Amino acid sequence: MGKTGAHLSDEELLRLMLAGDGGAFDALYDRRQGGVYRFALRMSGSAEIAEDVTQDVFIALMRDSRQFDPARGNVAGYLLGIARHRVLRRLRRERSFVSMTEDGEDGAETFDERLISDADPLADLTRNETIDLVRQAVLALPEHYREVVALCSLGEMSYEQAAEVIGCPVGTVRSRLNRARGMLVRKLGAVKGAADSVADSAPDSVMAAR
Amino acid sequence: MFCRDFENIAGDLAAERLMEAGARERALRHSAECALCAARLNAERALDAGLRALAESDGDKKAPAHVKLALRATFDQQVKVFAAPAPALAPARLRNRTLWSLAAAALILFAIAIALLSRNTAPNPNDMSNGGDRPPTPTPAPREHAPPSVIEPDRRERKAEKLFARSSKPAVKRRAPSRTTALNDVAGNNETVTDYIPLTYLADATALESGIVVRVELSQSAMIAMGLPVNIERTDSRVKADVVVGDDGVARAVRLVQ
Repeated sequence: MGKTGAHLSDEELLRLMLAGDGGAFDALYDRRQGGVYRFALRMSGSAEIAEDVTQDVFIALMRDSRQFDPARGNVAGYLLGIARHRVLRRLRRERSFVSMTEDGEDGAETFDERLISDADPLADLTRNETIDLVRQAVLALPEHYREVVALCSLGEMSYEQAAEVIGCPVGTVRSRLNRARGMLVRKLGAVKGAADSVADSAPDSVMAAR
Repeated sequence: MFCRDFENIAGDLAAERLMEAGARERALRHSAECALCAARLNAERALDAGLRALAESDGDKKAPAHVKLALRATFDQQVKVFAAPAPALAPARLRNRTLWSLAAAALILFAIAIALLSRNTAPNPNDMSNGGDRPPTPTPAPREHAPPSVIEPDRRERKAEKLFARSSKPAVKRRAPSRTTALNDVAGNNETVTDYIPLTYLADATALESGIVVRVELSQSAMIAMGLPVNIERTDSRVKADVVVGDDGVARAVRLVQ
């Protein structure tokens, strides 16, 4: 096998890896470890857990990869499926993530005040603070909502791919993501801020018509 | 389009996911007409911007290098184990076989030891003579104290009784099952007894050297089983009987008591 194996598909790399090709293992690891690590990180909020899960996933790949069935999905989905099981098991054991504080509880600005403005939503925000707010809001979601956000909104997977990883119908992914986004919007105060700003400017007739 | 329909696709609209062109157009038209849905769309867009910012900030994150090193070492080790040539594995197999053989031998020895121990701890008739702390011997009960409803006592119990009897009174000759003795025994009582009837399955009932007599109550069915005559009109009644039980626990003879 070539040094990088970049020209080979995941399935081919896996086959070579099973035949004992260390280069294929390296190539597959390099290609897929980031997605696994980030998914675990977004689900857990802990770099330590993400590290452990990544290691567990690839050890499981060495040990059980003969169970991989290409007819049921691709290698990336297979790895994320293992990662999902590991991270959920770990979270249930540790319950280590921190819930987000209630809106305005600490007198800080709400998300909508930072993110939504008349001109440019992100113009007057400190980017890192916004990212932290969003991260905390995602981590505060229930697990089954958090995972669809991690896969679809943050991992840019299609509904079909996410359904394959989670092992549920596509419609379930779609509805969960819709619910999750609604919860995030509420948590971040976006609707309130936006609605307030609209209500302030909109004529009463528009509100009554709705 | 209604507000509820809009809510269902607002996230996809904000995230610019693929959707039917007509649905997208209708949603945008609705948001232009509905202030709250427009606000919702703005909020969804703001959320999407936040999620994109989060995804971008995490985009270059990956597992530390030592994870890969550890995994690669594990992989190499696994490859070595599975790819080792057959001759190299043969000694290991032999060692395994030897270990299994040793384990099996140890198990067999252990089982033998247990068997020997249990044999040694079992009561030895020859050592019973000085067993003073043994339970009292169930001597042949006098008729008036005979257990009223002992029906076909378990053979093992009888053997135990017999053994204990030997331990305390080893030389006691039980009442020999001779007809005269039996008749004499009951001479002073108001009981009428039949002769001892040898049980038919015994080839040589007279070979009995010692034993005990147990007073029992027999059901008619038990009597039938022993080949004794039964009054079929009184099949539900019970009959008193004396059973002569040999040292080996086998009933030798029976007589009926009335």
